[in-house]
Amino acid sequence: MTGYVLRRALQAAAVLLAITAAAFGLFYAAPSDPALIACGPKCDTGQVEAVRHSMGLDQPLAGQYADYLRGLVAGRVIDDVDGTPIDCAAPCLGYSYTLHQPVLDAIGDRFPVTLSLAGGALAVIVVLGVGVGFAAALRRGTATDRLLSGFTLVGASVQIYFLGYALQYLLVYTTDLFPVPGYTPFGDGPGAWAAGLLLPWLVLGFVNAAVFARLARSQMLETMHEGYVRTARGKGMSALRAHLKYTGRGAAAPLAQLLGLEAGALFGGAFITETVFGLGGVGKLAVDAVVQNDLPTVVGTVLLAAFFVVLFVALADLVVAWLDPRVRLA
Amino acid sequence: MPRFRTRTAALPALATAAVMLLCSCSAGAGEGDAAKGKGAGGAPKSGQRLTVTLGTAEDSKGPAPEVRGAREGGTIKIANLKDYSHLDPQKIYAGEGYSTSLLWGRQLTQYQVVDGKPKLVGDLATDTGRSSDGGRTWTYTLKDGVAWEDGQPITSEHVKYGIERTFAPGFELGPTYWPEWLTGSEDRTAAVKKYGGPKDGHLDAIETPDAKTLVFRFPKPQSDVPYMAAQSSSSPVREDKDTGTGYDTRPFATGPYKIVEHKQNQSLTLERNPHWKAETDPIRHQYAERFEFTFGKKILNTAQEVLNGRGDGADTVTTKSEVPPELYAEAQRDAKKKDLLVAGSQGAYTNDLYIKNSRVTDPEVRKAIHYLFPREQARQVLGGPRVGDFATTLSSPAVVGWKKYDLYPVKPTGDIEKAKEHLARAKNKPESLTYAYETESPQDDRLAQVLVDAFAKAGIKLVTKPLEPAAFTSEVFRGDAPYDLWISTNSVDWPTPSTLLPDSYHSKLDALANGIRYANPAVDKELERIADIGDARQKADALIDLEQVVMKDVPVVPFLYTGVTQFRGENIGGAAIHPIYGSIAAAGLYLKKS
Repeated sequence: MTGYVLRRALQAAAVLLAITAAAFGLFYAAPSDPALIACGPKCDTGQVEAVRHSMGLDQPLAGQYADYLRGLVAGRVIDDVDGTPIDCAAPCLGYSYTLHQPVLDAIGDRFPVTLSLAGGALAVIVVLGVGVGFAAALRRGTATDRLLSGFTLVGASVQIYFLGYALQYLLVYTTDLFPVPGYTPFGDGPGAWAAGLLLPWLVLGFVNAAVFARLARSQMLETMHEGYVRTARGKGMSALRAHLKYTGRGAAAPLAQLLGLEAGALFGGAFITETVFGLGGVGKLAVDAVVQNDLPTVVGTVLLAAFFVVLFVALADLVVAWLDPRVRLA
Repeated sequence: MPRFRTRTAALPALATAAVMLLCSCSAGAGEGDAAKGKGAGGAPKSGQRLTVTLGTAEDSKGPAPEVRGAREGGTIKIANLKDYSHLDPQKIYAGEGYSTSLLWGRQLTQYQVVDGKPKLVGDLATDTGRSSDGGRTWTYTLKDGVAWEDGQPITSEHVKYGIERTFAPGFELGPTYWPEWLTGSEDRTAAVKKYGGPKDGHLDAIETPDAKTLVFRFPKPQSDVPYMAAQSSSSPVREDKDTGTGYDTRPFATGPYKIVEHKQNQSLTLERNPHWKAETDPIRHQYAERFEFTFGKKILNTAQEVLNGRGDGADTVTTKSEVPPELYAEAQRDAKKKDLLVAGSQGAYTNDLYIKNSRVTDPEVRKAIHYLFPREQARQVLGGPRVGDFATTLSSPAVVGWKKYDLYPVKPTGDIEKAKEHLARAKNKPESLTYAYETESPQDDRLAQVLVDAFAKAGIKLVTKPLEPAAFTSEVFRGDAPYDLWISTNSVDWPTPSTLLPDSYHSKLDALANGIRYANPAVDKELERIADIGDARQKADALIDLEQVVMKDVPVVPFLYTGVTQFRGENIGGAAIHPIYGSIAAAGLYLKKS
C-alpha cells in the first residue's frame, strides 16, 4: 500500500506542475495586456511601461515562471503598480493588482463560504445519491424504481440557474417557507449558518446527486449478479446482509471515484450556485476576476480548482485501493 | 476627462426609471415617510428645473437640517451588485460614488439638499469660496472643529496634499480639472509635466499661509471652482495615512462614519466616527449606528427580498441599481410595494442619440435623423415614461442657466415625411448607416430593432453592431471607428454648463472627449473666448447661448432627461434620490425602528 501511495502522490505532483505551466501560459496567451489593465485606459505609453516593469512583465517568460514557482514554494516580494513592495508569503499564488492583495489572501477570505457550501452539498449528494440509487436497485422494475429513476432524470437534466431561481421565488420570496439564502460564518451561530445555506445545499446537492444515484443504481444491479454475491446468497446469507457486505462494497469503487471528482470540482468553487444564491465564495471570486481581467486571480483560482481535483481524485484512488486490493498491484 | 459616462448604468439604468414620476399625485401621497422627510418633498419630474443655488456662509454652518421623523440607531444594509472600484477620494469619479462616499468623506464644499432642492454650501470650508483678481485667485477658510477619525484636526495642508495627489501617476482615472486649472494646461498630460504630484514637492499654485487658509492661484480665470471644490477629488488626505494603492480600498475618514472593514467584492462595514461633529456639517447626518454594505447578490434577488420584506429586506436599500423591469409592473399594482419605490430625476443626466459628424457630414442627413428618430417607441422599449421626459435641449434642466428651446420641433413618434424632405435636399444621401450599441440586456436589441424599422421607413438601411459593454468605449470613442450612431447616457461633471460644450465640442479635443468629432470653427473661436471669462454667471449664459448655435448643426439628437427608480426596505426612512448625484442619498437615511 505504501508504494502505491507514494506513486500516486508523485503522479499528483507532476499533474499539478503541468497545470501551473498551463495556467501560467494562459496569463500570457490571453489577448489582453495585464500592465495596461492595471494602469487603466488613460495611461500613456510611458506609464504603462513603468507598470510593466514593476509587475516584472518585461522579464523573460522562463524567468517569470521560475519566480512564480519559487514564490509557490518559498514566497516572494512583488511590487504593486505604484512600486510599493508587497510581501507575498509561501505558497504565493501571485498578487492581484485589482484587489490590491495577494491572491491567496483573497481566496482565504472566501474559502469558508466555498467549504461550507461544498461540504453540505457533498453530504446531500452522498445521502440522496446512494440512498435513491440503492433503493431503486433493490426494487428494480417496480413503481418505486420508476418513480426514483424519473426523479433522478429530472435532477440530471435541470440546470441550477433555473432550479435555484425558481425555488428561491417559490419558497423564499412568495411563501417564506425557506430562510433567505446567504452566508453567515459558522462562528456567528451554527443555526444561522445552516439556515442561509439550506436551499443552496439542497439545490446543488440534488442536481449533482441525480447522476450519482443513476450510477449507484446501475452499479448495484451489476454487482448483484456477480458470482460472489450469488454464492453468498446461495449459502443462506440474507439479502440485506449480502447486499450490504458484498454488493455495496463492490459497487462502491466507481462511486468513490465519481465522488472524488465531484468533491474536487465543488471545493474549487461552485460558480453558478454561488452566483444564483449571491454567495461570495471562491467561484464568485473567479467569475469577478474574469470579468475584471484580473489575471493573477484567474490563474490562482484555476490552480486552486486543479489542486482540489487532483487531491480528491488521488484520495478517491486510495479509497478504491483500500476497498479493492487488486488495484494496488496494477 | 469630460463628462462622466455611466458605463454600467447607461441603458439598464434607463430601463427602470419612473412611472411614479408621471403622476405627481404619488409624489406626495404615495411615497410615505420619504416624501415627508427632507430631501424628498415629492419626487421631482426628470425634466424639472433643479438648478443649484449658491449658499451663503450662514447656510454653510452645521448642523444639517433635520430629516423629519428621523431617529437614531440600528444598522442600515446596503446591498449592491458590485463593489466600488475606487474608494480613494482622488479616484472616485461617478455620481453614486460621490453620493455614497459622503458617509465617510468630506470636501471643501458640498450640496445641501432641502425639499429635494440642492444648494452648494461650504463643507469643510466656511463658505463656497471667495474669488479675486478676476477669478484667478480663490480663497477658502476651514471651519473650526473639523477632524479626522483619530481626532486630529483637518488642516489646509491636508486639503492641499489631497489635491496634489491628482497630479501623481496612478490618478489618471479621476477628474483632470485640478491639474489642468492649477497649471494652466490644455490637458492632464501637459499638466503633469509641470508638476508630477507629491513626489515633486509642494505645488506652488496652492498656498497655505496658515493651518486654516487655502489660496488657489490659477494662471487663467476660473469661474467654477466652488463646484470643483465639491468633487471627491477635493477631499483632504493625510500624508502619514496615505497608504498608496491601499488607500483605494480603505480611506481615512472625515465624515460621520469610518470604515472598519472592507473585504473587496464582499462587504464594507462602517461605524460611527466619534470625532465627527454635527455642528460643523451642514449636509450629513449620523442617524444609523452602522452601515453594512454587501456586494455580489443579484439585484433581482435583492429586490425581491426588499419588496417582500424577507430576511434583512426591510432594513435594506440599494444605491447603485434600479428596480428590475421584471418586478416593476408588480410593484405598480401593489400599493404596499409601490410605496417602497424611490423615484427621481437622475441628476443632470441626459440620454441622447449621438451622430458621428465626421462620417455623417451632411447637416441635412443629420436633420433627417432628428425627424425620423422614433422617441416614443424607443422610450417604450426602455421602460416607458418612467425612464425620463423627452428632451429638446442638449443640456439638462438641472444645469445652471438652462433655457428651454426646441429648434426642430417634432412629434414623439417621429416624422418620416419631414425626414424624407431633408434627405431629398441632402447632397449625398447615405444608403446605409451603422448603429453601435452595448449588449447588456435584451432591450438593447429591441431598441436597435425599433431604430432599424424607423430608418427603413425613410429609405435608409441601418446596420446594427452589438458590442460587449467592456469594449464599447474603446471601440466607439476613437477617431477612425466605423460607427455612425450610438445612444448613451451622460452627465456634466457638475451642474453648470462649463464641462459640457468646452469638454466635448471643441474640434481640438481627442476622440475620447469629442466622440462625435464635432468641428465648427466659429464654435471653437467662441469657446476660446468663453474660456477666459472669470465670472460664473456670464460664463454660464454665454455657454447656454452657444449651445443653440451648436444644436443648429444637429450634432446629436436629444432624447431624454433621464429619471431613476430605486427601492428601499419598509423600515428605511429618509430615502430620496439626490438631485445632483442621481441615486439614493445614503447620508440622509435612518431606520424607523431598530
